[in-house]
Amino acid sequence: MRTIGWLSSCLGICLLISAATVSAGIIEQYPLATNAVGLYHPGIDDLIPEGSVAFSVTTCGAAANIPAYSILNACNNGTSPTALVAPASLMSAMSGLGAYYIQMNFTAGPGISFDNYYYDLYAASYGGPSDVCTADLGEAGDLIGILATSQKGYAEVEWILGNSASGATAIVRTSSVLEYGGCNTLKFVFDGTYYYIFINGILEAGPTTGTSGTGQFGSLMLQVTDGGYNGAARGGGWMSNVVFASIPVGTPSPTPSMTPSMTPSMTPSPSASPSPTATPTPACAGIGCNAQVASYKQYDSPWGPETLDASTDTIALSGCMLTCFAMVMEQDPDTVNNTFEATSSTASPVFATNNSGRINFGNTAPFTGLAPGSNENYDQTVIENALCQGEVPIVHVIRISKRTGLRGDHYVIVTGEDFTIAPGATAATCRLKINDPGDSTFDHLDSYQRLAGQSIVDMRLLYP
Amino acid sequence: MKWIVITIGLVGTVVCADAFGANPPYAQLLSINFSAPNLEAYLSDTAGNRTGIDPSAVLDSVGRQIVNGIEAPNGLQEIPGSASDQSNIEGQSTTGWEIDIENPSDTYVLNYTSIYLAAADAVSIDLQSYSPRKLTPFNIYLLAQKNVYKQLQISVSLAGITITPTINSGDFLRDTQSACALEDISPPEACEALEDLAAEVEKSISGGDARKEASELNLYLFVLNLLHNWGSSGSLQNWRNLAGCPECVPLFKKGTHGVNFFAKDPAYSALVLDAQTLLNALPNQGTSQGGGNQDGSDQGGGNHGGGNEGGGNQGESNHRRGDN
Repeated sequence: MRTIGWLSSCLGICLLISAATVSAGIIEQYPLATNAVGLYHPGIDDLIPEGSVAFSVTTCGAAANIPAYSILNACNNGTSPTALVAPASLMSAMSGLGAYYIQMNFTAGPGISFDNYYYDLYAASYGGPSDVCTADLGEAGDLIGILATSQKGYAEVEWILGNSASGATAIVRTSSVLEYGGCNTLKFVFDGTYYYIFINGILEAGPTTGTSGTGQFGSLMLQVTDGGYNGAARGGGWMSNVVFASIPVGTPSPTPSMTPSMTPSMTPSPSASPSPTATPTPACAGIGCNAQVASYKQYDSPWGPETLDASTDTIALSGCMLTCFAMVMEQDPDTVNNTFEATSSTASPVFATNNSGRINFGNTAPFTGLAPGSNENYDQTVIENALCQGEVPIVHVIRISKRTGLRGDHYVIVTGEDFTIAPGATAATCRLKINDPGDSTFDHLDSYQRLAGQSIVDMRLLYP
Repeated sequence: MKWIVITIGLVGTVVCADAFGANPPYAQLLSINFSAPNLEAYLSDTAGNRTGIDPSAVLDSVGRQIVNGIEAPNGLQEIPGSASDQSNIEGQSTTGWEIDIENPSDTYVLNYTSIYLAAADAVSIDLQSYSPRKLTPFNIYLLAQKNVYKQLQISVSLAGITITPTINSGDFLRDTQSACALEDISPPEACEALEDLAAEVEKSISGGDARKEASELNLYLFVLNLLHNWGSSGSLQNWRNLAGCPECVPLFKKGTHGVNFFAKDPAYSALVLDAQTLLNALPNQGTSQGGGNQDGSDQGGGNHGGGNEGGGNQGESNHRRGDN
């Protein structure tokens, strides 16, 4: 596998940058502007100290038009330092358990060509004692990473979970939103239990747990190459406007997908559920069984204004089923929609013209590994069992649009179950938790049973 | 009434060769999706059970069925192991339908109609098998009209899935008129010629004149494919080969300069299916000429009736295009 080969071949001594003074908890908002904690560009300086404005960080693009610089042949061939590395002091400040956001903004320069073999962007966090910078991810204690690869326009992202002697194991593959010449943001999040990776504000991977148990980030590295891999010569490539920053938990996030509330599966334990009294453990068969899905809203950017496959409707309007499917596939709705647009045809549409937003599951061939079941009558017991079997229930409901006031069909994903008191109720009940692609306030399926005019219609189980 | 049988083998594209998760608690699923502009349908089995839209239900302006004054999104579900589901996102003008049959093994009849005077849709009829997972997709274009129920026979057995379009008297002309009403064929002179040819076909059927019927159908297909291929590389872009066709006079009068001729999907493929269904039901009638392509290239448009991309074996499908 090319990815692992490249990683394991990166045995050179990479440069660990020590920032002057860095403190955790610096508030940053995307796009980062004035308070970067560290700024570094290879070929200019080893380190631009904190607060330096040696070149602008206020824009992500032409403002830092620095000549191309070959930065990666060393890491591949074992010569000189290659990668951008977050300041050690930043890493040190974030060494305790807790929730951290580490944000890296960068612009890929013109030396990175989509037309010339591969373009790798690698960023990793690893905590092993001897590979602070070498990115082999082959040692116990190594944690997480992300790799974006492009070959002549084809892009992908892998979230790689290391911590084994044989190197990294790809646990997520998804299309990338990284763009050459664009202003991109990578963000790692560790909340004390789960790890997440966001690219340009979109949750690309996670939640998942690391295997080291250290619960902390080691160091971060960002590097770019152009052409060749796994021992082959690499061409030039450079980045500008790279910023490493830490954002404390609770910082308002620039996109909804960054908020902790977007990860409902993070609190599956029944013990975390507010129990009204010291009642016995409820017999909720689905508690503790959580669907491993991402969380997206159909109205979020950039996919919200996009048209749904061949339909004339936007994803924001009619893309609830698409967004449910995207959550199941753990790919953002834009990526899934683009895949459908590339493979769908008039003769075999995934979403035909004004087709009510339903996926024709028979035409979702690009997404293998998922067996769509039949429509079924709604049954909470069936859903509980399905969750514990690793299946994903999509429930068809009737809802009243808050925007238009119109009734219409809608689809949500059931992600788990808890034993809590529903609004307006006096006692706790077994309640199915949902990811609702169209509503940020409906977090339980019974939301659709409380309001007049709304109801549950039926359901479909997806067998991953 | 004339039928033509198209058999598709069960050997389809393997969707998930190495399934790593669970499978549904049934071996096969027949899933029929009406995805677009308000084709309403129900499926009936040989025992008379029905699943899908209730033909006695009132449809509202966007095609949702209303039973006893209440929206009934599930419709009839009389066939054992069946489910149906209608879906209309808020404010949409059309309603989609899906009909599922678990472990199908019968000869079903799909009865479809529309709330519109004319409607066309790409309908997916998928047979999903599990363990190992594989999919036999079947996509077909259909034209429908308000207050007219048309039929498609779907037989599922271990031997395969068989789709049998049913062309009733008047359907061919009605579908041609619908295609023109939907503006999938242009200019009006082309519609005039095709409608006249379709009327001649209907007369031949009524009169039992198989030879004339075949001649008119081949001419119809030639004109239709010529329109469809207009502008494509190697295609004919004149009416010279239509000399002696009185129904084609409007086209001669129209000329060829500065006119945008076309016949496009979904109506185009639905009409080809109609014509070839009728043609192949005739005794000793071969495949019609594809029309239009001088170089024999396969530009005749979409697949019709037979399994298409990723689909099963073509089996006895009689539909070929561009076979000049």
